[in-house]
Amino acid sequence: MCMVNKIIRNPYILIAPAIILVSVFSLYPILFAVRVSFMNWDTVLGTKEYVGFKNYINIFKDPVFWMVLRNTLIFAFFTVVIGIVLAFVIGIFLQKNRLSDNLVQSIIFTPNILSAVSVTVMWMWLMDPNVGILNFVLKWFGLPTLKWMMSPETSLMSIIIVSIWKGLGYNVMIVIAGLQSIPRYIYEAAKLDKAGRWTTLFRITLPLLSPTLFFLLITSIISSFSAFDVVSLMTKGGPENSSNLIVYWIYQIGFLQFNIGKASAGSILFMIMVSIIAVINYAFFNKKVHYQ
Amino acid sequence: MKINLKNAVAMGLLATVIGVTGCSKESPSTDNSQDGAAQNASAPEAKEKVKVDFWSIWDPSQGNGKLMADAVKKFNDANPDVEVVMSGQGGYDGVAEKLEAALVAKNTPVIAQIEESFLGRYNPIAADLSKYMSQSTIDNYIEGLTRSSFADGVFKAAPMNRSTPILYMNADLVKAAGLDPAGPKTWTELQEYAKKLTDPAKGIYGFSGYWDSDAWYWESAVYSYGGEMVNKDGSQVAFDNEKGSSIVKLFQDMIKDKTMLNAYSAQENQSDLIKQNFLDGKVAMDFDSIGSMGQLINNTKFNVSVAYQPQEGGKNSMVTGGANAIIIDKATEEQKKAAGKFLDFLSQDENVVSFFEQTGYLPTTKSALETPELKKWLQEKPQFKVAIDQLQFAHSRPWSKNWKAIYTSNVEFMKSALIDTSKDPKQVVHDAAVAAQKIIDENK
Repeated sequence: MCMVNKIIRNPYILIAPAIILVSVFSLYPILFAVRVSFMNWDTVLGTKEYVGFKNYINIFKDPVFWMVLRNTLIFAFFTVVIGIVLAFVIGIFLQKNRLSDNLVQSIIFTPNILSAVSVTVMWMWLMDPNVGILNFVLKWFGLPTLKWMMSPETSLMSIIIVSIWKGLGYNVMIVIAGLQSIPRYIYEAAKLDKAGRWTTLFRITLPLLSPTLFFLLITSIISSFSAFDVVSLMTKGGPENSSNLIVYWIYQIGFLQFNIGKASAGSILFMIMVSIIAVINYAFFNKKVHYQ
Repeated sequence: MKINLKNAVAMGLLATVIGVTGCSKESPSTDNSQDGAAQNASAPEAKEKVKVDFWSIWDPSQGNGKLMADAVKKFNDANPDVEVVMSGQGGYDGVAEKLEAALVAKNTPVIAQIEESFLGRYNPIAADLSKYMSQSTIDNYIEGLTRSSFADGVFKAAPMNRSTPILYMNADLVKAAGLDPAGPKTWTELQEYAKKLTDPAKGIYGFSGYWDSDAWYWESAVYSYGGEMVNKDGSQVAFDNEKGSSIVKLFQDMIKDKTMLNAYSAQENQSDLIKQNFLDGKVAMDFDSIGSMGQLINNTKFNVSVAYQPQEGGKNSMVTGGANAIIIDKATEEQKKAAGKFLDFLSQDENVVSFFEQTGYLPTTKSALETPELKKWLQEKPQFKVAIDQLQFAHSRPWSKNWKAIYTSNVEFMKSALIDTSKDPKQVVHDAAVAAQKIIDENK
């Protein structure tokens, strides 16, 4: 009995299920992708041959890759920064538990529970260059109309707008939860000290909310780098790759061109890129985050 | 500490073992087909049904897929020793994607319905159909539909649902404008027709057309200018010239002088947009697939006439499209024979005629054209006759294993030239050619 107990209590046995799942579903595919990234794999003939760094060299020589990389960074920057700043501002206004606040909160959160397909189809109508409401609104204000996702100049902007809109409700929820967990007595103390609104905001709210914002930053960056659905549904990366993001590009190489080696090399580069950004995140922001 | 290390090593080993077994799973399934062969060969008296997996572009429960599923059922009922199992794989791209995955997993179907131009890629795994189908069936196919079916003289792809682009005309408008009802012969004439048919006061455009998602209409027009997509062995792009860019320039010019409705000014529904405008009498000529015939001649209040796709330089030449059936060579001999029998069955007059009448895809065999039923049909709807006659000028599709990747790239460039008509068509086509050549070089 004691023996059995001892075995069961062995920490390695206890973590075994997790390790096994991670090994089979994450570790093995990653290692396999690393191997394939050095290969030229003809799926029809079934031949595989090692070609060294040829796939990586091809990627670095590919102007589309650099364009896609640039697009991804722009996309990530704007969706993350605007998404979080907007969520913070809206969160500040909606933090009181009034009925109207809750109502607006629910409305803002709705896009999150709708399927990406229906949401993007709706936006495609709004953004239609001829009959879309957005162009009517622009005209109303006497502004020049846009071609939205039909033009290389505005297609990336179009998917950024949709992504921010879709993610906003979730971000606002998290911000409000963070705001409500800040103890009231701190604000009361600040009031007694005659602290102004702005002082309270920057000296109390922001520092105490920083763990929440840091969490949002990390999750937003990850989700914006791996954005696929909006691109696939709205623009297919076009026109001329102007709205193509790295994950969709990898998909195109792998499943439209069937160049598994190059697609794997792209995935590995993507993984390295995301890891570097995660490390930078922790190194830079972790010190500034104030944990109570 | 020591014990912990031991345990850690054990865990690592465990993970590795799982990884390795996960990996070696490939090998048992490798022999699947051979197992099947042994089984079938050793037990003929067991009279097990030969199962033939048939991967279709259509969902068997609706539309064209339902018609195909009915044909499958009819065949299965008539052949108790064979069971053809049809499954929809999600269109041309779906079949291609899943076939690719199936090849890696070594778990391929017996029959695959692939886009005509994909034989360039799947040729190495496609069986010689003359071994499994009757020669009379193969000889019976309309010659224009089999130009992309041969690899080194071997017949490998049997025509199924096939189409070709033609020029639809609003005959009433053409007549009212005092133009020759036979329609334009050349692209230059088409431009003149369009000018005369355009009526800005009534909101009528003389012409409209688009590229489609695989730049099919662009490809077709390039052939009509005497151009080519790739060279014979598919190692070089061949459209980086005037022949490749002329149609782009023509479309741009016509959009600029407002004689052509630009389908790329709106969302991704170019085909529907043009057809709707044609049906509303707002577009006088529409360059579209034979597949749209039923919709365009049955729903109109005016007379619709059709003409060959225009050309330039004196020689008609155009694409065909749609899907062919291939038999995967890895299947067992019994399966391949049964599959051949099924393809023979689909090409019987009765099936060809009913499929044509219900779908609008081209009839695939010569003998079907001679049946009284079809003759009568063509007399009533002579527009179909034009499309069938046009097949004599059919051009073979590009022979390249990367064609799917190339057209996916091409269409983006061609689209961009119509979204922004100030772009230099030669430059656009040149950029497309450079990108296409890169795809070829990287995927040798």
